Amino acid sequence: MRGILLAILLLALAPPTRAALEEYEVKAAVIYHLSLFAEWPPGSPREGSFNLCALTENESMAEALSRLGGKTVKGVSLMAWRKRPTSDLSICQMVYLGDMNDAARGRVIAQLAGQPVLTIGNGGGAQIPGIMVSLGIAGERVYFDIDLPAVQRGGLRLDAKLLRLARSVVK
Amino acid sequence: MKPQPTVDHGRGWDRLNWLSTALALGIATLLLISSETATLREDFQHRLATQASLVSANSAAAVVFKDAQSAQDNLAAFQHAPDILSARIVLPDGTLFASYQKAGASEDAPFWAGPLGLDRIEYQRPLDLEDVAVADISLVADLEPLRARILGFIAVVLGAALLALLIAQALMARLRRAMRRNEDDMVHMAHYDALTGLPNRALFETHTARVLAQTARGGGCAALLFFDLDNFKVVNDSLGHPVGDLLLKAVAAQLGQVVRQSDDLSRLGGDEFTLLVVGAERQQAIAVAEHVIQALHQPFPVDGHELSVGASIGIALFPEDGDSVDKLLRSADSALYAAKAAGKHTWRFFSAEMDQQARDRLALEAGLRHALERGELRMVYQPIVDLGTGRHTGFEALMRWTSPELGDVSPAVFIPIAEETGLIHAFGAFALREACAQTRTWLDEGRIDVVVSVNISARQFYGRTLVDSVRQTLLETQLPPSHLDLEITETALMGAEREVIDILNELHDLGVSLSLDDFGIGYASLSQLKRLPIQKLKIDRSFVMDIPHDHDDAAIVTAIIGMADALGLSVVAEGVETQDQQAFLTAVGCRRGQGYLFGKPEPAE
Repeated sequence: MRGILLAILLLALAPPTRAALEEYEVKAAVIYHLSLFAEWPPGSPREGSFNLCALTENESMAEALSRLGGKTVKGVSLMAWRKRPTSDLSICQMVYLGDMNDAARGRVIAQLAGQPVLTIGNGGGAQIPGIMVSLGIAGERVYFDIDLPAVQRGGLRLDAKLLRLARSVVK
Repeated sequence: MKPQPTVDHGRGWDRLNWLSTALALGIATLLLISSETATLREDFQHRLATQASLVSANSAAAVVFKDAQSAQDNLAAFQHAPDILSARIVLPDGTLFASYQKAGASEDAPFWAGPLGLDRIEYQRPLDLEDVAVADISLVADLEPLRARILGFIAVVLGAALLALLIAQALMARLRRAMRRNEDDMVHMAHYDALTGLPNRALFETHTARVLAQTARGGGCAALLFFDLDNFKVVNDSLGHPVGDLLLKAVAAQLGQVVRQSDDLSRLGGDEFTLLVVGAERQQAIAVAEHVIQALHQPFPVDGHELSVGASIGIALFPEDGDSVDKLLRSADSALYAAKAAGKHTWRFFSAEMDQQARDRLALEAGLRHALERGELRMVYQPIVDLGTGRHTGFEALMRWTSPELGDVSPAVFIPIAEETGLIHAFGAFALREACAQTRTWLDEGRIDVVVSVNISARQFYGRTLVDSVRQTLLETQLPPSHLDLEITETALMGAEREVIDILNELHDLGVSLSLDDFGIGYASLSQLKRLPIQKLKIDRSFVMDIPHDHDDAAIVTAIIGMADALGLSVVAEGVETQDQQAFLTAVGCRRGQGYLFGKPEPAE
C-alpha cells in the first residue's frame, strides 16, 4: 500500500518528459523574443514593469513562462503573471492564451479589444481568429502566424524583421 | 716650384651628408607609409563594422527565431560587397548558424601582403538583442583595395622623397661649392698677403722649409735675397699709409715682372720682401740682386707722386749661411743691415763678422735707449766763420754720445739708430733745448750776433710736433728766434712736399732761419728751392774736399754759389780744412765756411 502510494506520488511529481519540456521552453523563448520586436504606443508599459500574463491550464507552459521573469524588455523588467480568463487583463502588455474553448477565448479577445495588448495564442497549426500572433510547432522549430489587422487595431506595431520571419501574415 | 698651400676638402663628408639625407628621407617615408597604412586599415575596419551592423540587426531576429534560412539570406547580401570573402554567424554554443562564402575563386594575396598584415582582415562582433549576445558574426575581408591604395601612396611618397632628395642634393651641392670657395678664400688669406697677393711670411716659411729640404737632399744650393725699400718709411710717414700701400703694390707688381717664374717672391711684412732662388751660387745671386735693384731704382708713379724708393738687398747662401729657414733669414737680415749701412741701393752677402755686428748693434740700441736719461748725451759746437774776416758768425750744434760700455759713439752710427727706433724725437728736443739755452748764455755774455744751427732729422717732421716744440723751447730759453737756425736735409723734403712746406713756413713765421744741409748729394731740385722758405744752403763737404784741384767739384761749387746768389740764398761751405779751399771759396763768392780750419766741434766752454 505504501509502495503504491509512493509510486503515485512519484508519478504526480514527476517532471514532464524531456521533449515536452523543451517544447515549452522554446515557446517561452519565442514569446519573449516576440516582445522584443513589438512596439507599444507611448505610455505603455506602465508602472516600470513589462507584464506578461499567462492564461493557461498547462502547468509546464506556465512554469516556462514564469521563468522569463527578470528578463528585460524595452529596458524594463519583465514580470510574469498567471491569470484566469475572467481576470482584469488591463495591466498586461502581453497576454498568452493557452488552449481554451472558443467562447472563453472570445471573451478574452472581447475584453482586450482596442487595448494595446499583444495577444499570443497557441494555434497548434492554424491562425486563431482575433489573436495577433499564433504559435505553432513543426519538429523542433516554432513558427508563428501574424494577424496584422488585429495588431493594428490594438495600436501596436511589429518589426518588419519579425514579419519577414513569420510563416504567414494576414494583411 | 710655386708655393702651394695644401687644402683638404674632406670628400668623405659629402658622402656622409648624402647618406644622412637619404636616411632621414627614408625614415620619414617609412613613417608616412606606416601611418597611412594604419589609417587606411582603420577606415577599412570601420567600413567592415558598418557592413556587419547592417546585417546583424536582421540576423539577430533570425537567430532568436531560429530561422537559419533567413540568416543565410541576410548574409547573402554580402555578394554585393566584393571585398568580403566570407561571413559566419556562430551561436554561443559554437554551432555554425549561417555562413556565406564569396563565389568564384578568390585570388590569393601577394606574398608580401601576409607579413605586413595586408592580406586580409577579420572582423567579429556579437549579435545583440536587448543587450544580450545571441550569436557572433564574423567577417573576413580581402584587403586588395587597401593594398592598391597603399601601393599608390608608396609610389607618390617615394616619388616625393626622391624629388626631395634630388633638390636637397642640388642645394647641398651649391652650399658645398660656396663653402669650398670660402675655404679656399680662407686658405688663400692665411697664406697670401692681401695687399700684394704675394705669399706671406707663413707660406714663405713652410714653402722655403720644403724647398730647402729638397735642395739639401739633392745636394744643391740656393740663395735667399732679403730686401726692403730704402725710403719706404719716409713715404709712409709723410704721405700716409694708403699711399705707402699703393707703393707696395706697385713695387710688388714690378718685382713680379722682373723675377723669373721659378723664383719664389714673398712679402714678409711692411716693406720687407724675400726672393728664394734655387740653384743659385754667388754669381747668379749677384746677378739677380742687381736686377732687382735696377728694377726698383726707377721712380714709381703713385697717387700723383713720383716716388723713388730703391732697395737694399742682403743675400744669404744655402747651406753655408744657414741650414734652416730661420737661420738663413737671420743671416740675410744681417746682410741687409750691412747693405743699408754701406749706403743703400746695394747688396751685401752675409759674412760671419755680420753676426758680431748685429750683436754690436743690439748692444748699441740698448745703450742708446738709456743715453738721454743717464746724461750720456751732450752737445758740442763747431764755429761757422765769415770767410772774409774770419769772424765767428755762429755755431753748428752737434750731438755727442759717450757710452760707459762702448765709449764715444759716432753720430753717423747712433743717429740713424735713433731715427729708426723713434728716439730721435726726444734727442732732437734735447739738442734744441741745449743749443738754445747755450746761445742764450752766449747772448748774456755779450756775443750779440751769434746764431746757433741745430740739425733737424727728417723723422722729426712727421708727427706735427716740431713747430710747437721749437716755439716752446724759444719761450723757455728766452732766445730770440733770429738767433736760431734749423738745418734740414734734402731727404726731409722728399715726398710730402705740401706738408713739409707747410711746416717750414710755420717755422719761418716763428722767425727762425732755415738751412738746407748737405746740399748737392740729394735730390733737391731748383724748382723746389724756389718754393721753400729757405735762407741758406750748406754745400756738402764731399764737394769742398777736393777743391780747388778737382775741376768738376770746383765747377759744381761755383755753380751752387751762383745759383744761390740768384735765388737770394746765402751759402755755407762745410768741411773747409785748407787755406787753398778758403781762398777758392772766397774767390767764387762764398761768404761763410765751417771746418777744422776754423775750429773742431767743442764743448761750449
